[in-house]
Amino acid sequence: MLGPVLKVFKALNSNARPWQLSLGVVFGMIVGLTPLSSLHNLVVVFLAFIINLNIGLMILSFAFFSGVAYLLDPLFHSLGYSVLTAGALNDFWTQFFSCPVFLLGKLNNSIVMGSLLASLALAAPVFFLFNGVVGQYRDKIQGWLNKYPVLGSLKIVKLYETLMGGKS
Amino acid sequence: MKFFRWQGLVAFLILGGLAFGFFRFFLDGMIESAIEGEGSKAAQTEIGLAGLSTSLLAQSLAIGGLDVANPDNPGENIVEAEAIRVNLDAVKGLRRKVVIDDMTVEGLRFNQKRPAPAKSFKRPDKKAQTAEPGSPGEAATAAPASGLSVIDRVDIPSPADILKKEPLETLEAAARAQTELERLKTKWEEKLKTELDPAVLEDTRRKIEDLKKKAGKLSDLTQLPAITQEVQSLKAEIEGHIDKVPHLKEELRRDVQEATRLAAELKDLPLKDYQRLKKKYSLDLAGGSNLVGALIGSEVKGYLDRAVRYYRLASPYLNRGGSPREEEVRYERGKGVFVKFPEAEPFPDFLLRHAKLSMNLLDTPIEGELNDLSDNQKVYGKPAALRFFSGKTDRFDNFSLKTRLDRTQAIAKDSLELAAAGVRLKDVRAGEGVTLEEGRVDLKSSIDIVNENEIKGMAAADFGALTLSLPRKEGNEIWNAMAGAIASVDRFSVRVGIAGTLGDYKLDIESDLDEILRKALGQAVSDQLKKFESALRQAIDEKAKGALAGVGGPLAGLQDFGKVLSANESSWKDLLAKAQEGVLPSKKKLPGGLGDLKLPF
Repeated sequence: MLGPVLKVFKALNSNARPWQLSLGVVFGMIVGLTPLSSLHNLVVVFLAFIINLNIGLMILSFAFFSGVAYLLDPLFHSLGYSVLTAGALNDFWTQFFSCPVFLLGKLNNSIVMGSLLASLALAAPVFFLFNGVVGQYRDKIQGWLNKYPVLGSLKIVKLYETLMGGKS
Repeated sequence: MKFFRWQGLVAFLILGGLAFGFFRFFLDGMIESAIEGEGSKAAQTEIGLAGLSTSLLAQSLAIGGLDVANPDNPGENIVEAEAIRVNLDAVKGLRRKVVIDDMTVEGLRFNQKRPAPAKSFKRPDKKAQTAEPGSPGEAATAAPASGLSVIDRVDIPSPADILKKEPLETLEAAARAQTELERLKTKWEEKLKTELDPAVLEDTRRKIEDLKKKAGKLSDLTQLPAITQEVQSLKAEIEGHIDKVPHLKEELRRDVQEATRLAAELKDLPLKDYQRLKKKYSLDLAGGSNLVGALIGSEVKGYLDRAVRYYRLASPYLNRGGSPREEEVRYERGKGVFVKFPEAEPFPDFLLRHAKLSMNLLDTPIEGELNDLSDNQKVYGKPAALRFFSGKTDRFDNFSLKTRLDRTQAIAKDSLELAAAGVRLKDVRAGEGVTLEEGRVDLKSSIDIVNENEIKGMAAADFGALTLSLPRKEGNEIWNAMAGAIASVDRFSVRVGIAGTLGDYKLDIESDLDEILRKALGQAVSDQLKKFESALRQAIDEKAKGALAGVGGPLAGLQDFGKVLSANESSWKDLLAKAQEGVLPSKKKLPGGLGDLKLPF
């Protein structure tokens, strides 16, 4: 339980830029909230490989949001189903799904569509929110920690490593 | 810090390649276990594959061997195929459609013995437990004993035993008639009591006597109008009663007529009962029983029932084209709902454009082809067609089977045509112990099914160069007579008519063999049958006698009500005469020279 939290701190204390950390969280959120076997996740994972984001944080974010997705499953279904069956969008969807790739991506499934829309809608707010959190941490908390040489040199992570009897 | 890390692309490609390699390595096994597992569940019978390999580049699939167990007989495979090769349309696959451009099936065999019994995948069928009415095969089990099974019965049951278990229509109708007659009798007893009460008659007679006395004592002419008034009112009352009688008589006439009709109907019923039971328990050699029908009827029906069952299983898959969004089913956690949208170019979800087939029939390979098998013929626009054909072989001169499944129009029309000439037969069981040791047959059959329900068809078989046998049974003269007759037959024809619905169709089987068998049986069993039939008639008459006599009493009682009505009518008429003549004093006796006055009647 403590491991993931310490990994977050490790990432926060690393030299990584805030956008790298935030993008890792956002990508992990998209993969976590939507069904794993969906085709769009292959695109997300591909992007995660070539964009210089924090993979560790992405994996943590994926694990966290997978649990959230299970709880929100009925909500995603309702959202996806109402979007897919909205009368005004019928012509649009008919054209959209005439492209076989989207059908192969199971976007006509209520949960895939609902969770993808929700995760895309949350992407920008989460990105900027986490950016802010990283900034605040590095400006205030990290600076405060650095004032105390013992804590600063141990940096919690090292404390954890000591407690665990070696590197985690 | 760079935005892209190009080494990530290499890592992705390596990981992707590893994943693809893993997937490719296990793909065949996954498809094989999916077909065996999910396919068996869907078909409710065990499906086995000997081996499966796919080629992604060639978009093809090859199955080494396929066997599908018979759901009704775990020891048998309903279909076996030695090898199947399938070429798929991968582009259509992207749209989640299964389109097979070309397929080859080799070594198709039907109803083969399995090396080990199949696992059961059948869901519990409530209908089967409660014997669904109208289901195929029901008629066969409900049919009365007939044909060779009757011949086999040396001891024809005694009439007394038959009457113990068989209800007589005569007795039931007599009980109904008796109840009706009792009801009519009670009705008329009530009616006479209320409408023509003898007490009222007596009361009226007393009133007349009173008026007579009053008129005799008439001393003053002023009393005359009052008495006249009373007389007139009494007369009107009597006439009212007299008027009722013709209506009652008419009603009684109708009731008696109905009761007589009921009684008359009963007279014919013992004969009807006799004919019904004779047909069921005796051998009607005059033509009522169809011996060839009995001989092969259950076999033919068995084959047809099985064909109907498979037809019903396959039918829903031929007609799955519905409106879009039909898959909007109940939401299931983690699975969601797939919403369907109209396609710009509608296309069936399943299509087999062409299949080359090779089946083994009578140990002879027969080539065939299947074209345009789809799950939505209205969209695809073409009916499915199956054809098998063969020229001269060791087992027959020629063979042709054509099947067409047409769902392109609103009314589904399916047809089957079979023709086989010079089919050599050897050691074929014809049913009921008869073996066709040797012979030839020319077969022709055509069956049409409309709307997946109404079935109509015919089949004709002309047998020749026959050697038939029926094992003899010691001490059973009737059976042995039949065995001798069968052994003497070297050619015969059978015509089978099929009509009705898939759930309840009738077979009409005719054959010139019937006459031969009837003659043989006639000689052997005529004396026994005559005795049995006479005893049966006597037993029915005896049993019905009491019930019929019970009806006579109430009928006679009802007829007697007519006499009561007539007697009542004449009594009232007498009273009316008395009232007219004897109540008022004669004109001569009127006081004060009023003899010239006109009296009211």
